[in-house]
Amino acid sequence: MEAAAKAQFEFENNISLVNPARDGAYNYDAAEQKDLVNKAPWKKDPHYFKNVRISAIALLKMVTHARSGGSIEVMGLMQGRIHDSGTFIVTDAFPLPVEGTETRVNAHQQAYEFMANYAEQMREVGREENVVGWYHSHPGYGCWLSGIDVNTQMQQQQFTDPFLAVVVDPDRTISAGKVEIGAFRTYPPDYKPTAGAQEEYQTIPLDKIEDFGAHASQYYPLEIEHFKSTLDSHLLDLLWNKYWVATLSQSPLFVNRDYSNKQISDLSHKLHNIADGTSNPGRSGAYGTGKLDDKTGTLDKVVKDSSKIASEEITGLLANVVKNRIFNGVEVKENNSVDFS
Amino acid sequence: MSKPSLISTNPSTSGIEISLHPLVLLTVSDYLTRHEVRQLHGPVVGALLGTQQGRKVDIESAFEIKCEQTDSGITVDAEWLGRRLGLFKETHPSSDLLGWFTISYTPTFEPTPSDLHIHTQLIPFNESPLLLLLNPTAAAAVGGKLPIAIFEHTYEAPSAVEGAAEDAEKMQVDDDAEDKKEDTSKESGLLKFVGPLKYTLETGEAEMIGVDLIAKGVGSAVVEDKDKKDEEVKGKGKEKEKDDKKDKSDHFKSAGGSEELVAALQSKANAIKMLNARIQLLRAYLTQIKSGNSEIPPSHPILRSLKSLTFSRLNLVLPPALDGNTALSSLNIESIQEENEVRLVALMGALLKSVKELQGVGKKFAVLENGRNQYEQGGMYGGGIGASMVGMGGMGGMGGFGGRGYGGDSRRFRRNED
Repeated sequence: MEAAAKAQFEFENNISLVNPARDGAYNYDAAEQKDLVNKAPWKKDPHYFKNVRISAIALLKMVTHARSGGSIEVMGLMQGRIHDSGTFIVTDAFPLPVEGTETRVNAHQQAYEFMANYAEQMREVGREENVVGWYHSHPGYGCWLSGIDVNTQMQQQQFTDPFLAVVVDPDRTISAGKVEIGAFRTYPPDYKPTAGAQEEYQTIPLDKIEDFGAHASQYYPLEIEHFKSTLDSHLLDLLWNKYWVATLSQSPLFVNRDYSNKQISDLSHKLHNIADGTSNPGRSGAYGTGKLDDKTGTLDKVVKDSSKIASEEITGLLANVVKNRIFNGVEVKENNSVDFS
Repeated sequence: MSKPSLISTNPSTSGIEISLHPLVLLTVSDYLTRHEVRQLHGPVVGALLGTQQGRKVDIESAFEIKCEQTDSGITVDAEWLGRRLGLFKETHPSSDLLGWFTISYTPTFEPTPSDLHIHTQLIPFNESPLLLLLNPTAAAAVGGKLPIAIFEHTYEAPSAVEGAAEDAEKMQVDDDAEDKKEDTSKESGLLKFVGPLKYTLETGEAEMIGVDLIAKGVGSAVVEDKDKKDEEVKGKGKEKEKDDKKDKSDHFKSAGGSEELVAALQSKANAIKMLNARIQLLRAYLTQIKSGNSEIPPSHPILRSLKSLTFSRLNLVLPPALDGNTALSSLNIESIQEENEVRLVALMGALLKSVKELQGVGKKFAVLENGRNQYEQGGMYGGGIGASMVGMGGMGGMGGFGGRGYGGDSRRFRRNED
């Protein structure tokens, strides 16, 4: 009966639910995948994978999962496929029953068992996508790979390639008002990247900076794109009718108080460090020009950090100003008419 | 042929409060799209999961259920579902199965007999599962409403006169009625759906930002070969629109790297437009009713809720005034404080920038001085030793200068923190 109704509908409207051209990323061709895995072009070129396309559902699942962990690192896996243009297509994501503290995200025995069971169950409902990567959260300290992450990723790339690492920062997502996400692949152990490819600057807290610096040359970021289906956009358009209220009523300054306090105290620590290093260089006398240049670099970074904090705060303030202007100007007048000024 | 409705005529009495997360909708949409693109056969059926506290139900996520189309209808693989639920609980310990979803192609969201059949199979997992129907066709989104309907079930006493009649008729129509359902009917009456129930849409902060990102500048799921790409882009108005947007944001970027702020303001502007549109709608409605030549008869419930909104609740929204002085309400004081804090942070950023520039000046100055000294002294002594000694002196002076700058700043900074 449903089928009949649907057929009738499609006949009357001369359209189908999905557009095969536009929703192509949702398809899966097992033979093609196998062929590509056998060829393994990424073995020859460490830079083979350049792009990641993440589906709406996978992105949302990762972000909400990362957020649900609070200040604890959480971790999960991504399913999808690869495309011969050097692209990962991530179609879905699922959490793993592991919780990490700080940089100790590591898959345990329980997780492996879970993974095997999950994959089997997914196959039974006709979802043949392989696991193409893992994601984990870095609450409040940005999207990059720590030493342990690099090791995990290197191992995975050795044994289960093609494999991708994604990092989500739920705290910064909220403070910046946009999803903070990064996708990475490590280089093979014997590969030396060509210097000069400076990536986008990001703020790293002081207690993590050593870990960040030590491994930054061992991996490279991939370009992230997102995609959604025709039906997704249709639903999302309708969804806007419901959640515009939340856009107006939210207060990022309030939600983010903890995070911005942390950021500011981190900044002050960094400043102290610089101040200690430069307060009496005259006495030591051993200051070479090169060393001073390094210091200037750090100051540069701190300046960038502080302007970033400032711009985030200003964005938050503007949200409040807008709210204030709209709602606090409302007066209930004596003559029983309401004035929206 | 007129079939008996599977929807109970009684209104819902359970007082259930449902909040729905966008993730659920997108899961259904994702499932359906994949189903269609890969031309899989079989029913689209999935589980709804979330938390329930008393009568408050939070539907947070969803996954598909393995089912089989058999002669007697659609059979849920209970063993599979049990295992899947077990896995799900490992990662979401507080979540339970709350109900299930399927697709409906009727504009009225009428559950079908086969829906009822699946529904009964889920009762072992949850005593009163909810049913979410989603109509994916564009026509179903009337008046900008989400094309979904949520039902719960109830047992109607078969002793009721029309109930009995329907019961008998139903058994004929619904030839996939199996033993289980007959059993339940005998025990406590006839299983019927109640609804559509009211629901609210709920989003976490991070979830909302995610939805926002997906809803806006996200491309479609086109997989194309590289040489085909250009054509595709040209052919699509939407893509073009995106490009326009990109140009715009590039423009803003060059204006000072504040594209995030612009994006935030843009979404605010959209929300305000929406608010304005809604208020205009209400105003238009009121003026039409007032003028008396309206085709729609005045609806008293709407008028009443409008009145209560404008005359009693609006006062609650306004911040309470201190000592009758509206300019100094506690909310105002709060917001002024907050504003001051933000400005302080901004000032700190500006200060740091000038420190950096000062340091740059000091450095350039040192280099200059260095060069001059070297030139002068080179004439007297000549040789490398003098030059290197002077170089050191110059550096020392410069470092001192920089150091003073930092000291002042970090002291000020510590005060900020307090």
